[in-house]
Amino acid sequence: MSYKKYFQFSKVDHVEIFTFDPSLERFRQQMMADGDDVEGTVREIIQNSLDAKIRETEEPVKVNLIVTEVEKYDIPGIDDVFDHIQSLKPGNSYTSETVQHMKSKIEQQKVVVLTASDSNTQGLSGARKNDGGTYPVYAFNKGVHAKHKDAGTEKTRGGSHGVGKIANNAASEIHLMYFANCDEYGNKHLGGSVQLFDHDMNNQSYRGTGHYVTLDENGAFMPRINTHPSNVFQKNSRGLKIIIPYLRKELSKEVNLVKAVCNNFFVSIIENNLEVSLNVKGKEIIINDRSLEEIIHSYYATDVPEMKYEFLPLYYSSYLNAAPQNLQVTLPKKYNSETYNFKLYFFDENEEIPSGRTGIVRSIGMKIEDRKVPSHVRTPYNAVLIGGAKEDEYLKSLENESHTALSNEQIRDPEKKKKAKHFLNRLNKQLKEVIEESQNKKFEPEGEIDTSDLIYEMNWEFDGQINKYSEKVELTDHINLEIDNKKEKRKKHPREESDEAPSKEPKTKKRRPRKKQADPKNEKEVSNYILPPAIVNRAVIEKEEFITFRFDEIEGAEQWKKINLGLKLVNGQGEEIDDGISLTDLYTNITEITSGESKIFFDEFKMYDIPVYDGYTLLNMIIGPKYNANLKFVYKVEVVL
Amino acid sequence: MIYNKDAAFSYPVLSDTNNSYTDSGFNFRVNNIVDKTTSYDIFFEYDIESDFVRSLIDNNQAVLILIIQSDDNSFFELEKGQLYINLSKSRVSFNDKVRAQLHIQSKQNISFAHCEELVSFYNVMKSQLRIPQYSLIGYSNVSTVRNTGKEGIALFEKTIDSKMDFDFQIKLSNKTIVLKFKDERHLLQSTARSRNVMNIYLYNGLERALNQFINENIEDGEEGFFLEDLDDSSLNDLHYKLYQLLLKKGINEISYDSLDALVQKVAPSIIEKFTHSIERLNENGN
Repeated sequence: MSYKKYFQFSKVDHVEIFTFDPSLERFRQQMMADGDDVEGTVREIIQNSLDAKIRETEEPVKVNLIVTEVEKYDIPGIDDVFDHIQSLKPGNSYTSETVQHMKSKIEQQKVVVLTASDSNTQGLSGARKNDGGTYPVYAFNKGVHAKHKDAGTEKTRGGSHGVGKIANNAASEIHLMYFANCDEYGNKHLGGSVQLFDHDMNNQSYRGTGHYVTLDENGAFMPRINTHPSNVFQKNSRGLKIIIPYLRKELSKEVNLVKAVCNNFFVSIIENNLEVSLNVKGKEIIINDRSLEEIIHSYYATDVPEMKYEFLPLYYSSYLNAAPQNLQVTLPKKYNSETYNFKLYFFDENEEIPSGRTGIVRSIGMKIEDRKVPSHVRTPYNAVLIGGAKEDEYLKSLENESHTALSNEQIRDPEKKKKAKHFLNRLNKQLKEVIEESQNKKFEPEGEIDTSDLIYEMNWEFDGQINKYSEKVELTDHINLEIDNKKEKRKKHPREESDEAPSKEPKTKKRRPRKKQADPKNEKEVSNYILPPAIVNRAVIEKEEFITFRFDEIEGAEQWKKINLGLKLVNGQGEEIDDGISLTDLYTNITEITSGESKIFFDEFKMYDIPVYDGYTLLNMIIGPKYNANLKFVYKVEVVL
Repeated sequence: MIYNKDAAFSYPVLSDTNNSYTDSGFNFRVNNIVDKTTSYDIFFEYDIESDFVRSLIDNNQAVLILIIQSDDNSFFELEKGQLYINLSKSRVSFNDKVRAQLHIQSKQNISFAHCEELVSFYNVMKSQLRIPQYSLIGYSNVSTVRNTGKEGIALFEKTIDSKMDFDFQIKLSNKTIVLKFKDERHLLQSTARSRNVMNIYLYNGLERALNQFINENIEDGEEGFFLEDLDDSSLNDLHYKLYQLLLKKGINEISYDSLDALVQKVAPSIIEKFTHSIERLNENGN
């Protein structure tokens, strides 16, 4: 029967283990302890993507994290998964609680899913032939990862314990995850796993791990070709996509995801090796070298004294602003005085820094630890420490299972354990020296006392320029023209003697109107301008409006004899509103009155053939029913030649 | 809202870029900001170059409204002659440019019949020209302000002299306040690793210096004096620095009675930071 199933569990003679894999447990405990579920999973996903970067490309690795919802029936093989969950007989009360929680999910129809896909990465290889590529390793083995052919890359890449995959299972309330892969030849496969424990089902005993695979004629695991119809489970470009259904609540929160990315990968992001786009239930956030500063500003504490538990804003500025200094850790002679060279970005010029931490970062740009240097846990300093390939390799051996601290406790070989202890002690000592030397410099017994945090002047920049509406005007020949529409005759005011006094120009320059593109469809040859409002005066007296135009104040307008006129409405915010108004709504009758009474023809858009005498026009309008005396206008003029 | 679009209004408007009034303008400038810990005093000057509009304000027919545009817009109806406003720091951030503008708004129907400053176009019809309440009579240019950072003022020096008769002494030189210690231990630096534990010494030093500053500038028999009356060219370097700081903090009146206030205006967080450094020391000890 089993060949028809979607999830394959290895058959065993009898069941022995009645609790979940201890690393799932550790993962969860650590999540609880840190107060956020998120970091381990996000670290694991992004670290794997950075490791898989295609070396030929200069582009940053792009990771796309999406939190969305799917229907339960869209999740491949989900009925298999719940069949096995129903068969679990927990061995202790804690496990029992978890199993109960898993069972409670059976009826749930809408399922929250996290998908993580990447690009500019290699994807897994060997899925088709099952001949030693990375795919089978990723898919079928727990707790190992394939070694990169390039030894240099192998040293700098992130994973070391292979807890990685389990981190993805741990992020699911039912320990379920899928991965959709597309390799360099465009082969698409869908795999997955569920992490349970030994159980009996239909008179057969099974191991705890179920794989989403198919079986060949010999009963060996074969990757499934991805034919899933739902976009959530598809990966169509080269790379890997992780799909975690039944996502834990903490992981679906935008702020948790943003912080998990920034806290752990700020160096990758600053160096433009990584760009993460987050989409949480429709809201999209791009985290890259350009947006990082703004994101830190909006998601983290901004006042230094509040950064007691959030070190990222300080790491960010230390890494960007401090000049790196060399920091060398040399082991004792019996280890051949082996040395490790790091760059330290150290900052301590703010006494308000509440917690002193050194962020230890691997050269791929992932932070491993917020290191507390003994006796300087509260010293106001902040630093970022980064090594090279050799240092990465050694640090990797010192990481605890979840990559969040350096320690020698997990090392079993007693000699290596001792060496690790020496290394960590010496690292602390070096850091301590840097911190104390800098502090001592600040506290010289004699000389000037730096009180700049206490006694200071604020510097202000004041600018009280008169508005110069230098609206750039595009002429037909695309030369920009500045409208000079300053006030003319102006009394000198005593204040103008000061340096920054508003500058005013005497009446020498003539105004230049904004010239608009001529209308090619118009048969008459016309030039089209927007008039500077300062040459216009309006007055409304009961049912009449009067407007004058002083064209003689416009450069080159002395020759105008006849114009067409249109207008644009300006609202209270000073915005021009296009096509907001029809002339025929505003006015019932228009006459030009300098020349006696010439009646002006007008339609919705324009008044036509208005005569100009010596650069002057005076119009009289009879106001229509839709007129409002509060309306403000700018005028467009077409010169009729 | 800041208004900075020139458009043709249906009545005369006073602005620097409008020409309904002859020989007139409306200039405005923010000229000083005083940081008052939780708020700012924003000082400004303006000039309404129209007798007619000025008289509208004097006669309560129109009112000046100050608009400050930061993250939010803030509006202040100004009293006659008011040249500063106090604005809470929560409502304005000077990290980016802040823009300010004055508007003049009518408080009742206004007739232009007696306005002698309008361009000739209006002369024939001005007796009939009226605008309703809440109309914009004039708007100034836009003034911008930006905080370009803090600059520390060096007032203090420290020296160690093991031959001193006392453990601690304050000396005032022409340029600085010198804190003299018999033993480096008294600086508390190696204990606390924080400058702020020394704030008690700084407080005393500042008080001593301000006291001397008052002494040397007060007239016999007077209780205090005004900074604006001082001849700043006669001050020594230390006193000049204090004088400048006090002015920038918006202080004018100086007296012995206000010594504590003066110290804490010159160094607003001196006590708070001292307290904090001791609290921190205590936490570290645990």
